[in-house]
This record gives sequence, C-alpha cells and structure tokens, in this order.
Amino acid sequence: MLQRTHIRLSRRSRLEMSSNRMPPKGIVAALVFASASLMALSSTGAIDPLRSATADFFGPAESTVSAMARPITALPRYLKSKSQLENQVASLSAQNTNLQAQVNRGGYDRNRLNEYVGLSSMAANLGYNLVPAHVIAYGPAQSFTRTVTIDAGTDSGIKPGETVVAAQGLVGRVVSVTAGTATVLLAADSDSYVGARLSDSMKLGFVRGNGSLSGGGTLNLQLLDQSAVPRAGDIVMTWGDGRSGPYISGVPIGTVANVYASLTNSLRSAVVVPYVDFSALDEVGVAVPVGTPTVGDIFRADGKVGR
Amino acid sequence: MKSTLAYIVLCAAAVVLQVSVFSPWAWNGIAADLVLLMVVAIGLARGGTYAVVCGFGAGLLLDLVPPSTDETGRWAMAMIVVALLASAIQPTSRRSMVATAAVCSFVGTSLYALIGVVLGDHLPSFGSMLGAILLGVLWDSAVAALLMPRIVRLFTRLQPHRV
Repeated sequence: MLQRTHIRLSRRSRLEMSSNRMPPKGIVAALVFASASLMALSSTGAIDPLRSATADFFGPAESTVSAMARPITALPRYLKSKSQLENQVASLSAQNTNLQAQVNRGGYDRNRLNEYVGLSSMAANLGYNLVPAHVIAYGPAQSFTRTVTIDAGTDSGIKPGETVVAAQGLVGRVVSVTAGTATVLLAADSDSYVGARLSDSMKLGFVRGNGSLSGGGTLNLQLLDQSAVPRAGDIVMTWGDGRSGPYISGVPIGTVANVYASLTNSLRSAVVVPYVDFSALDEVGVAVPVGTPTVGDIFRADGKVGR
Repeated sequence: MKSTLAYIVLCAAAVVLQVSVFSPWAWNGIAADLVLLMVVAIGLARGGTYAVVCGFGAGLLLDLVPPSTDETGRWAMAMIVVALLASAIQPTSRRSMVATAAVCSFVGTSLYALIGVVLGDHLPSFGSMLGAILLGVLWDSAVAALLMPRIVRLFTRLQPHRV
C-alpha cells in the first residue's frame, strides 16, 4: 500500500518537477506583502470586523466539532485527572491515617491532661508536693498482693510509706523504692488498711481492699464506733499525718455505696466505691513533704508546677 | 476548481480540528500543528502556487479564528514560508516526509515567534520558547509519521489529471 503510494508520489513529483514546482515570485511577494499589511492593520482595529465574521462562522463549527470529539479530547484530561485522583487518594488517606491517630490519641491525651490538672489541684488541696509518675506495671494477681510499679523512685525524692494519689483520689502507698521506680500497694489490696474518716460525721475507721480490681475494685469500710452507721453517699477521706502513719490526711477515697451488718461478728461494714479506678491507673502523684529534693518537675503545694 | 474548493474545505477543517480537538491533547500547552502539516502536505503534493496560496489562506484563518488573539497575518506569513519550503523539497519516502514536516514545523513556529519579537509581543524567555518550538517539532513529526503519507496521497488524488 505504502509502496504504491511512494511510486505514485514519485511519479507525481517527477511530473511536478517537469512543471514549474516553485510558485511565481510575484504571487509570493504579493502574499507576503498582504500578510505584512494585515499585521500592520491589525493593530489599528481595521481587521476586527473580519475577525468577528470569521468567529461567527467558525465558532459554531468549533463548538460542534469539540462536542463531537469530546470522548477523544476528554481522554488526556481523564488520564491526567486519574493520576491526580490517585495522588489525591494517597495524600488524603495519609492525612486520614494521621487524623485518625490524632483522634485515637485525643481521648487519651485529654484524660492525661485532666489527670495533670487534677493532680495539680490535689497538690494544692493536700498541702503536699506531688511527684508525678506513670504506672508502668501491674503486679500479677497470682502474687495475692495488688501492686503497681511507677516510674519514679529515690531520685525523685520518694521514700517508702508515702501516699500515692491520682487526680480523683487515693491510690495507695509506696512500699518499696529503687532509684528510678517504686512499688505501690494499692488501696484495693486485701492487706491494705487505710485510716479513714467519714466526712459527714467525722467518724473514724479503716478501709480495706478485697484484692479484686474488677469493676474498678470495691473497698470495705469498718468504723471504730460500732454503733455508728455510715450513710450511703458519705464521702470517705484518709486520716493520718503521713509521718507516724503511712497515709496523709484529706485524700478522698470514695463514697459509701451500701451498708450491711455482718452476721458473724455484729460489725457493721460498708462498701465504699473508690474514686480511683484501680484497674485503669496511669498518671499518679506521690505526696512528698514540701522541700523534698527532686530531679523532675513536681506539682507544688502552692498550685504551681516546678521544681 | 473542484480541487480548489476541496483545499479550502480541508484547510478550514484542519483549523477547526486544530483548535477543538488537538488543543486539548496539548502537552504543556503545545499541541500538534495540524494546519502547518496540512500546508506541508499541499506543498509536498502540489507545490508551487497552490501551496503558497493555501498556506496564506490557512494561516490567515488560523490568525482570525477564535481563540486567536495575535496580530493578523503572523501565521499567514509563517505559512507562506512553510509552503515554499515544502514545495522546494522532493518527497521520496515516509521518512523524508516526516523530516520535511519537522523542518517546516521548526521554521514555521520559529518564524511565527520571530515576527512576534519584531512586533514587540510579550514573549517568554528564549529557552522556554526554544523548548516550545522543539516540543512542537516532536508533536508534528509524530503526527506526520502517522498521517503525512495519507494526506499527501489524498492531495495528489485531488490534483486534476494533466494531459
């Protein structure tokens, strides 16, 4: 096919060659002159009617052709927009992952902020400096003591026997300390006896854990005055001075949920629902006396955060 | 007469196709110059007066038809030169046709840009202008490789048989 074309073309060319292939100089000169004149005229606006007439004729033709050719002409845009969309999908999904992570962290961060704010006001209420610490390990239940490990120790000025609080209330007390960690016996432990006072009647007693952390862990309250009856809704606070006894006073422990009389020993005991969820501890503070040297930041008793 | 009419229709069709179909395929704004290829084909097939007059007419159309806003006559002038150039070259094979198209594309577009410079047009830097011209040459060569032999054959058929 092509071969035939070439043969024919070359025959034509030979025909053309025999005739005058180049145009007469006069015509070329005339056309060049015409072009130049048009260029000169176009700045004066004399061409504009011609231009608008051409536009009137070609405009509809262009729009018809472009409408007919839309499937073809849309192809590059389709390809372009496809890669654009792919890029967009990639960047949006990356953004989404990022935002999702932020959302997922959001609740956690908010809770920690609340805990920090709570610890700060707790320090002011108690009149003690609070050394902030994270709960980094829970002791296994098989050891029959409910303890947690926190990431602050003697370096931060923590000593055994010091009270550990969370923003909501009492957590427990420090039982052993290393340089960088401390073990905290939770108030929910069955061996933990916390001196307690009913905030309504000022009656004294002891709060004991039952060793279970399920449901946040409930505590038992036994009053020294066996004739006194705690009322449901009473707030139970710690009682002590933090020096001779292990707990400092004034730390909220929980509220009295219900009261029952023991059949075996005629003691009245009450179930106390602790303010602290012992199964979900994170940010805690160890109450240290004001002036204790420490390495990190500390929630100061005057309500500020500093050394 | 019949063939002259056919040339006019074909040139007008090329102008319309160029602005409505080829421009959307433009890469970096540079599209294949179908009208220029048309003029080259007429020059190759017919040569002489036909090619120059068709080149002038097609160029003028390109200058006038929207969305053109340039000085009227720029493309006309460039196309006259393209037609002369194509007429001067004897086509023997597809390869030489593509080469002719490439040379004509380069010369035509450069001339168009040059006239712009002379007329004081706002033009981009020399580098980007050269890039645009070379990209246009690539486009035109590609389209010429596909279509040029067929268009030339068509135009040769349109030629009235000589005795």
